[in-house]
Amino acid sequence: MSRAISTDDVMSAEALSVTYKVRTGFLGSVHREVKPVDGVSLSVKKGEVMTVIGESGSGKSTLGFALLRLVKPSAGRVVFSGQDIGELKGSELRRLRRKMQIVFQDPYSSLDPRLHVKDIVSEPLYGSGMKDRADIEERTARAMALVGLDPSAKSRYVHEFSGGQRQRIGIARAIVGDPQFVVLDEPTSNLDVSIQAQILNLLLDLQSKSGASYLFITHNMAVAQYVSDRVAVMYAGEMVERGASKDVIGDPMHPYTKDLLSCVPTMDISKKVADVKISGDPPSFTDLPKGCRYSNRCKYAFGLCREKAPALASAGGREVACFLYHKEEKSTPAPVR
Amino acid sequence: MSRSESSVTLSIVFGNWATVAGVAILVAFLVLTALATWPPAYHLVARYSPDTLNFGSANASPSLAHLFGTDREGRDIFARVVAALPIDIAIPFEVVGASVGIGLLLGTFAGYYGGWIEELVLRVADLFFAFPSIVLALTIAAILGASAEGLRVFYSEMALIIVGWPFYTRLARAQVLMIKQMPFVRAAEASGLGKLRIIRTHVIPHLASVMVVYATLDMGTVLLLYSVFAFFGLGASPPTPELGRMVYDGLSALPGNWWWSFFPGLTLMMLALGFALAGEGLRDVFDPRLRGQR
Amino acid sequence: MTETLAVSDLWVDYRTKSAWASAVRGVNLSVGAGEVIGVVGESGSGKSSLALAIIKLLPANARARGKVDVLGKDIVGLPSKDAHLYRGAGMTMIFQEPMTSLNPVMRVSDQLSEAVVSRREHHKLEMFRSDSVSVPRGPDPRFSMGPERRAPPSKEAVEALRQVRISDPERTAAKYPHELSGGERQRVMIAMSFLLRPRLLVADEPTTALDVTTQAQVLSLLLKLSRDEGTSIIFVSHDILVVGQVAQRVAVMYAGEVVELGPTEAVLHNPLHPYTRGLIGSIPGGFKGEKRIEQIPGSPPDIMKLPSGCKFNPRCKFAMDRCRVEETALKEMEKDHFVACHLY
Repeated sequence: MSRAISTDDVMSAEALSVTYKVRTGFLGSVHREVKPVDGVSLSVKKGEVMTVIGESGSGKSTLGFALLRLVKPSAGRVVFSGQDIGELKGSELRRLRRKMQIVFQDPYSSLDPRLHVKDIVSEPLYGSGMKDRADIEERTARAMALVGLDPSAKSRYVHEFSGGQRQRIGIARAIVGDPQFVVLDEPTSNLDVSIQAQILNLLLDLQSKSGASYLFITHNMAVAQYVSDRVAVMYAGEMVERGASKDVIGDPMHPYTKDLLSCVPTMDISKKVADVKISGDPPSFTDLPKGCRYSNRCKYAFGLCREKAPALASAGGREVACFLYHKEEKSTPAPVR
Repeated sequence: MSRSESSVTLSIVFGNWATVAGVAILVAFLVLTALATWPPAYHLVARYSPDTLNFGSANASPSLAHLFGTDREGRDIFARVVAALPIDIAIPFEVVGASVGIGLLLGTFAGYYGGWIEELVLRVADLFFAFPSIVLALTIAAILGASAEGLRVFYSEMALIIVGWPFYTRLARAQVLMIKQMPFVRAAEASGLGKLRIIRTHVIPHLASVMVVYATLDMGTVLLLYSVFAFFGLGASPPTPELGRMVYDGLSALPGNWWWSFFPGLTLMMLALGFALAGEGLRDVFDPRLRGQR
Repeated sequence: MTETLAVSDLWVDYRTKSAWASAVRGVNLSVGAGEVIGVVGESGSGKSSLALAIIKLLPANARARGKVDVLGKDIVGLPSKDAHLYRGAGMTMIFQEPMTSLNPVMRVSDQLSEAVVSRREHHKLEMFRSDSVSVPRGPDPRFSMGPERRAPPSKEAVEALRQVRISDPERTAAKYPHELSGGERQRVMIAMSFLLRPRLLVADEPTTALDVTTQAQVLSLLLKLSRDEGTSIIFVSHDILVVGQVAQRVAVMYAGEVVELGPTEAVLHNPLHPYTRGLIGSIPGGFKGEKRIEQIPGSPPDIMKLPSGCKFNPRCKFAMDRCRVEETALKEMEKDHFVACHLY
């Protein structure tokens, strides 16, 4: 699927793939390729929060890394504010980096324990080639104040802070260069519930104040619902459903999205997730089912699903990759390979 | 290091008698060496000059007048041991320092950049690993030092560095491969920092602690290896005293004049023990498992 | 005897440099046969220490004080070397990361067979015999020779794997733990519990490392275990909604104390303690911009520096002078619904 890149898009990817070579078998005798991101297209508009929902092994984090070119895509194009970043030279890309930032999942390992808080927070400024010390100090102090850290903490080490405060340091680092685009890779999944609430509200406030675009990556449906304008659901390296948060989460269409939502415990304890019958586990990238990747677990799967991979196409006000909703494709017999 | 962290460090260091003993031994030797090399303070350490011949009191067994006894020429063995300390302590520092420096540089670049640089560095290191280090070092030192007597110590050090760097290179590379995967290094890349700056601010400081531990543990080994060199006559030229050479010279007098080789040998052992215990202690200090978790 | 577990005035202390710091502070809790009770708390609430004290697996630098009666016998005073008599068919535990509790060099089938052997030996002890469950009498393992005792994929092991809905159980039985996914490992642990048929299962964050779809499967298996085998389960979690799925009663812990205890429905929908209310209020709900979730200010206290009075008072918006000086105790507000708060 290819489409003209709209000027509203801050970040967009076309048919993006990431390929890793893995060795399996005795002493790594077998070389195989796995694609944790397989031909994904995606766009994030100016000022919106787009959430990628997926379970472990869905490729959602790799997608986030590939957009920022922290891993090199094997195919496809990434366009950030009008520039194809695959064509940039190393130094040009580095200068651009403070405008496209990331907050990591683990607030412990993502902050260097040997640096002062101010050196961690100011890193993107130095990275973009800024030299003016006074300016750097001022921006650093401002970012720390914005995330609710006492600027007097700037000369302390991260081990003196709790998990929630550490994540604030990580967020301060991401926003210090006034980014247009921030990837949030499960920023609250290692935090306690009460701290998660603080961080989610902080992120939403920062986003509405700055007008930046966020790509939020999470496995938590409730968090996705709370923060997103639009959501995209990933399964086994592919996007299976994408649309407005109210449509996709409020009224899911893809069988995987439906199953996923039905597994989420809610305040309504009479609705038992234990009664949900989903068989099997997500497939491993070395052993993908033929056709639709959810076909081996899907209760609606029929012949075509096991032969041909459905493409993401619009249906019911969003895009779904499922033959249940693309009747014309369903009626044409799939070529037998 | 913040106050709370350094207090943890101190409690780990002093919570362990072995570390205290190691550090105490090293400090005692360093003080002794410092005093002995500063002429005005020399008399505080030893009563006699290491080179004064006094045939009247030759072959004296240990006594209050001559703590470690005297040798065939009547020289005070205690004074000679003290005089040997500067060179015997300096050599491990120089050799290990150079080996660590080379290893850190090559290993870090090999690990961080990968590709052909890594292949080349590792293959060369493997080449040196393939030979037993002591044999290789002795051969190199003998070949280099055969002609130039005045440079023998230097060549012996060179030989020890040549067999020493491959280990540190491999160690540094393995550590860098691990550090490179840490999310904070990813974060630094995402911030647009260049590779050299990432190596300088994030990679090397993390490597340094591990390297320091291994280096300290290695000091004793190098000290003993160098004594082997001196033992075989590949050290400094006489009459410069050297512990390894003194052990060798005393062997012919065993078991009669046992103190000729016993006290230099004991001193060597104490020094090596000091390095080993201090190294173990440092390892505990840097071991994150012993730090306050959470 | 109706209670499988009765904990009374239990304290768990950890040795620190200068003194003992209490992670669990005077907890009372009882669990009936076949009951599932949830223990909810954030990090540092003492919930995991409570779990470890019940199963008598506290680390060497910790001590337990008080009473923990398992099947009518106090295990706090029991010498550690005798604790294994209670573990296994008496009580067992599953952890967040099942890899740590599986032997990495033993095939799944061998580990499951060990559970069978352990159960048979335990069921000889009268006290572990559950009246509701008939104990199958296999050949006495002590008299059987080699292959019998370490039976390769025994029928029972494969059946247990099938019970926990592992696809292709014969093949899985022949694998080593590292060859399984996280969800499969956790299901193997539960399969082991099915084979042990313990009277009490302590599950410490058993689904936290799992995906939601796998979590749903594991929750359903735990419920099945309690229903079919009459196993009592203590389900420890930071997630009150997950606990709500399986528990009949919920205990909310804060700074080492149970601050609220009651039927799940009542605790979730009519929370009394300000902390419980805050916890429930901070669960994300609704679409973006609909409703702002509440946040409890600050973070949980360090057990070394607990505030005086109610331990929640520095973060509580209702705190009064009394809360800062006087400790709280559980009071029954409605039938079976207890709260430790000076507001009541």
